[in-house]
Amino acid sequence: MIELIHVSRSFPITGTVLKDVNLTVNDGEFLSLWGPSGSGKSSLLSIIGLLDGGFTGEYRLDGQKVNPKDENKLADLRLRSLGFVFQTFNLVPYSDLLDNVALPLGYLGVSAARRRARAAELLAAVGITEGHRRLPGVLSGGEQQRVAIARALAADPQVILADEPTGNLDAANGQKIMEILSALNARGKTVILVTHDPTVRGYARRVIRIGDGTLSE
Amino acid sequence: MNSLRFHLKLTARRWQYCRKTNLLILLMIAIGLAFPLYALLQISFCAQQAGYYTVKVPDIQDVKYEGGSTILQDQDLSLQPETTRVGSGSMYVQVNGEDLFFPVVGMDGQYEDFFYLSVSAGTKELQPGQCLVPHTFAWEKGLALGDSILIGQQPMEIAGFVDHTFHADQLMIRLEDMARLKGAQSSTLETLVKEKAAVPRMTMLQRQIQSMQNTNRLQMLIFAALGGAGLLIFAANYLLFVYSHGKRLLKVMSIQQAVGARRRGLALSFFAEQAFNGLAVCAVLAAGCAVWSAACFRLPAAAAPVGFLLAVVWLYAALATALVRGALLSKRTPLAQRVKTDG
Repeated sequence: MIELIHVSRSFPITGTVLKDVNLTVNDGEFLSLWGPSGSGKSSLLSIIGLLDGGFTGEYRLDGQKVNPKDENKLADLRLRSLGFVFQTFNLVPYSDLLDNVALPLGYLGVSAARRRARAAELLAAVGITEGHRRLPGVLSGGEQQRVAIARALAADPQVILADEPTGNLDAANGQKIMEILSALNARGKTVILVTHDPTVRGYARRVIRIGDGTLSE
Repeated sequence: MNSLRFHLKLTARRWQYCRKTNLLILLMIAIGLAFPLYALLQISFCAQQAGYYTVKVPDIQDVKYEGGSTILQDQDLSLQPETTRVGSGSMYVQVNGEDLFFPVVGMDGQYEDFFYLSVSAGTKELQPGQCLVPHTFAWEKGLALGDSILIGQQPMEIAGFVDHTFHADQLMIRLEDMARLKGAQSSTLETLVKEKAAVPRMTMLQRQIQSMQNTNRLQMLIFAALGGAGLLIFAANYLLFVYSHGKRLLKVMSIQQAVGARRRGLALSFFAEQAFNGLAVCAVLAAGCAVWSAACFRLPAAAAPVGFLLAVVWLYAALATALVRGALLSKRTPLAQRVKTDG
């Protein structure tokens, strides 16, 4: 369970983007954050994903208060509890698909053989059953995003965060990605995604709008 | 967790991926190592010449010397080059008023072998009117460089000392001097002692380097030019890497951080990568400075350590720049923004 209590976030140039936000996301939810450009939805997702520790207020993960200044702790939580899917995929260009998916497992100290086996299993689960030794550059956008989802699942985190996961994909590929995320949610994973696409928003069971730095359901 | 080994493995993979850069760096290292190796071989070759020179001379021409006892030491004399002609004889030599009957060897051609063996002479050719005297003999008679002795009626300047086993009991002069002195042993000997001339003394290393410069100057210049070009290419490449590809590197490291890598591990792997670059830069700079100065500026002894020092300064300056730049970028830009920017 994720709890944000009186969370605010300001930037030097853009000013305050989140104002005293309170949000609770229970395990197993499928939550969509939407709003106009610059409304702060990605900032909120970054805070939830512990990519941004510059906020004020309180962040609780599974009841434990998170210290945003403890970088090692944040790294460990990102590794074990949160999986992030980016709009631009963010795969490591010089690592093949197996190694990309297995990256978090390397940081967990899992042996190379077990990493590869787990990565192959996850790639198969997202529909990539062959060509695991290819580099990401040769894949289509949809395939790259599926690899990114597999990587997000590598350490078996409870929460999957996705920032415009279909933003760089065509409709068919976008649908495939959303089906994968829905299936994950059906298996008990918490999915939180940011989107401005109404079709994508339709997959979520809870929708929150962000405007002027505040949330409304 | 987050073991350095795993970080370094990923770093090594990045090197594999960047094949062109990798090959260039390996080439630079090879060039960098080739220069000092070449210089080392040259020096060791010269040292071998200096200490253990025992080449046989197949074509010894006897220059008949009339008067005194003629001694031909055709097997014992070891001279270079092969065209060297040699003659030998004995004559009266007057040193400090004392008459001596002394074996004398006359030679023409280069006298490098004897110069290497002499304690004080350089690698110049023995000039007419100059002689080499056995070191022990000079010590016994109190002779110094620049002193003159009379060989027959001819005053000869002492240009160096011979201390090789084969020639330890002989005076050495030019063959033409020997011909001029033919039949010249005279009963009218007088002492002639000139003022001691100031002859610069050279160390063995200086003589070796000088010889290397004289005999391989073209090669050295070619290598120096190649080294300079390589140095410039590598320096440019390195700067490009640090200042341009650094952005892409930072993006990849941000991705790694986003999926759970700790900053310290990433920083260490980044440092290892930069240190590898720096090693190549050091090798090229040190070798380039050493060879350049040896070939062009004749400052070999000082240049190698100075070059190395420059290289180390360069390395740490570049490393510090890269680290400070990376640290500033990561400080100014939150991770959430870094993973969104284009690499």
